[in-house]
Amino acid sequence: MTSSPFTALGGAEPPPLSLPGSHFAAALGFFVLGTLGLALAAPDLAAGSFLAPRVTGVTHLFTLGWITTSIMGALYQLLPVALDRAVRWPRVARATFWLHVPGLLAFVAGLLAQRPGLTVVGASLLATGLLAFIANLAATLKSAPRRDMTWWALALAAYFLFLTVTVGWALAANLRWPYMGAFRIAALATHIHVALVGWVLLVMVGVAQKLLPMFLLSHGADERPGRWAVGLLASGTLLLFALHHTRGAWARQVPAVLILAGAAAFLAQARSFYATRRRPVMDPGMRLAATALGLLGAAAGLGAFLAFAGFSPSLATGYVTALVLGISLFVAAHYYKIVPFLVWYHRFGPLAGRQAVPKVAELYSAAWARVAGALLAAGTVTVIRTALRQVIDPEVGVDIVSLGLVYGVEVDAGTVTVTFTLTTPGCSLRTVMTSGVSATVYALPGVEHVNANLVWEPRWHPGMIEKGALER
Amino acid sequence: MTKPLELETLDPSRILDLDVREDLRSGREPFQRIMHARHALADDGVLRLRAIFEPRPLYGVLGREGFSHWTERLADDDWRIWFYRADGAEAEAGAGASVTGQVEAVAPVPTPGPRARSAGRALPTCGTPRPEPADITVLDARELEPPEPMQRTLEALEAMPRGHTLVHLNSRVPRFLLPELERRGFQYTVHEEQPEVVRLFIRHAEALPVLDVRALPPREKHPTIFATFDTLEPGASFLLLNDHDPVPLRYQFMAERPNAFTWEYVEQGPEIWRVEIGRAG
Repeated sequence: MTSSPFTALGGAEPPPLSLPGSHFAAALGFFVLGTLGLALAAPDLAAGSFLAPRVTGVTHLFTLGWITTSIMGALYQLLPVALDRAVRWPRVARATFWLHVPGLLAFVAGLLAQRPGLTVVGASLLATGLLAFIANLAATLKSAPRRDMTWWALALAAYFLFLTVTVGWALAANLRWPYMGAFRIAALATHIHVALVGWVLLVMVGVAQKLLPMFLLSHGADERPGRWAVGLLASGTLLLFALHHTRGAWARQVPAVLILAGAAAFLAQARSFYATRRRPVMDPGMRLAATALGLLGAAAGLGAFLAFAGFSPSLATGYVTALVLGISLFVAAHYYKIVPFLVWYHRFGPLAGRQAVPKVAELYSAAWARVAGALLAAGTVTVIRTALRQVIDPEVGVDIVSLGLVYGVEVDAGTVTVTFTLTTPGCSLRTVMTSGVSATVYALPGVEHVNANLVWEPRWHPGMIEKGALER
Repeated sequence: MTKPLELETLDPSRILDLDVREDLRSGREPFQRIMHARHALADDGVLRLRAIFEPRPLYGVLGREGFSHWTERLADDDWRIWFYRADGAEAEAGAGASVTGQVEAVAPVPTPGPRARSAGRALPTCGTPRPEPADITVLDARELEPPEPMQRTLEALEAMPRGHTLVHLNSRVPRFLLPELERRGFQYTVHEEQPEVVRLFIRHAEALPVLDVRALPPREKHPTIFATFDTLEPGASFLLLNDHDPVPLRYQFMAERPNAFTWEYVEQGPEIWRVEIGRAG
């Protein structure tokens, strides 16, 4: 028998409005909280202190609250289109939601209020919810009738979400029961990349392959760059995870090359979709998506600089900020497509043909959308620029040893303890200096743990500066 | 199945050839060309169609106009289908081809269509009066942004007379449209012959008798189905519901009721299979 040209039709019914709807509502709530939190965390971001708990809390409002909750809702909505299969267990999807939202609130509250116990409880709820989500997505993928590029992107993304949750929970536990030492920096870098590249970017690449042509009406574009993007991003992220115990610049540079090539392939694919679009006028949503893709290009540039030209806390902060906010804007852009469609479908779809119904574009104000898009883009660029401003500070010309800030270095079988101070106890650079010391020492060969021991006794005074240090 | 006798001995001048393979490959909609050719066909003409897949929805559409079909698979992506009038009455009246002995076999069919009447055809000697040709509207939704394809389709369907067919052409299966079609009492077949070209054939649902054999013990399934089939009036059909693809049943039909049945998948799994099984008219 030949393969039937008829499509399998069962099992791909769109979900009820409440499933994606609840996720979109919660995600928007987290987006508002995140932008408020951005103001709270702005001083830390400006100082380049990416380890500050406030930064971690606010970051997760964006990554888990806004981006991941939106992805969950959008997948429930779009899986019937993307995979020809509806979500396998709708009840699990609902239960996931009620673990995810309170879990994230507890996690962020714990971080902001400096209550590590609450943070761990929140992280555990979150992890449970996310594991249930992953299982549900895996079951849906398993029943999908064909394995195209989108299928692979989503399957790999689900696996990377699993890795993200594992490393993330370990990091949260480390806040309550510190055991990682300076390895925390490497674990954090892995967590961030597996989350943003492995999970979020792969979902974006996979779903954009279906959504961009659908909304831009650009059928027949060359779809090979998208396939390359999935392969390169996934292999780069896998390698990054596999090598994250290995020290040496190559262990970061090889994955970085693969990931950057993958990002470039994705941007090339998106560009080709935009270039072959049949509708020349772009609506506000697609315009914002293009802006967001530009930001992601900038983030890729910063990432390349970090991997090859050397580490700096401010550069790292700017890079992660650009990545998180770029993705956030890309998600926001799709709200102008998905939400009006959802509303139209449930409210006006049943009336179409029987009475006059509005067009989707008439359900929101394009003028307001343009203003909102411009404000979002401008705000994002400002935040990233502020973070980057600290990278080259004229005073960094003098190192902390010459300044007499380092009181002692002890080495004990791979564990290095650096005892140091800062010029004044109220120094706002406290976190950035601590993470800078940890990261720098950790990068040395043979170092397994770093204790960055910040002390205020004896108090530092200008007489401790090495002779000649200031003349140089 | 062997080639029907009347096709074996056919006068070549009665054949109208139409090759739509290039249209299908380049994503163009060939349906209007096919219907145009069908209308240009002489009364005793035979339409010989070449396509890159088996155009099963067409069997239903042309079947309702009194055409039988005979299908040859030349390659996986090369099909030749002969559409002809099985009753042979037209053929005799026309070119006097050597098709005989079929008129008596033709069963009476409900009231003749208005077109047949206005054409003043001598019904008793003509055998089966042809029903009104099913009118086809094609809606190409590929250049529309969601949810416009759905909106336009629903608007077109609400205005469509019963018995007509709407061909909805899309670059993907319109998942959100399908439940709405069911809610509004339309039936459809989805045809996805190549990436980015999907055709939906939508018409008003006919109140078909449904035979659900899912709960029956396996050994009672086929006898029940054949018993139901044998009660059908020619031209009538029923909808079979099953939990697997009833391929063996189809072979049994080929063996035991050759040329007497029609078989059209309405839904193919993975949980439920719906097949419209009809008695050839």
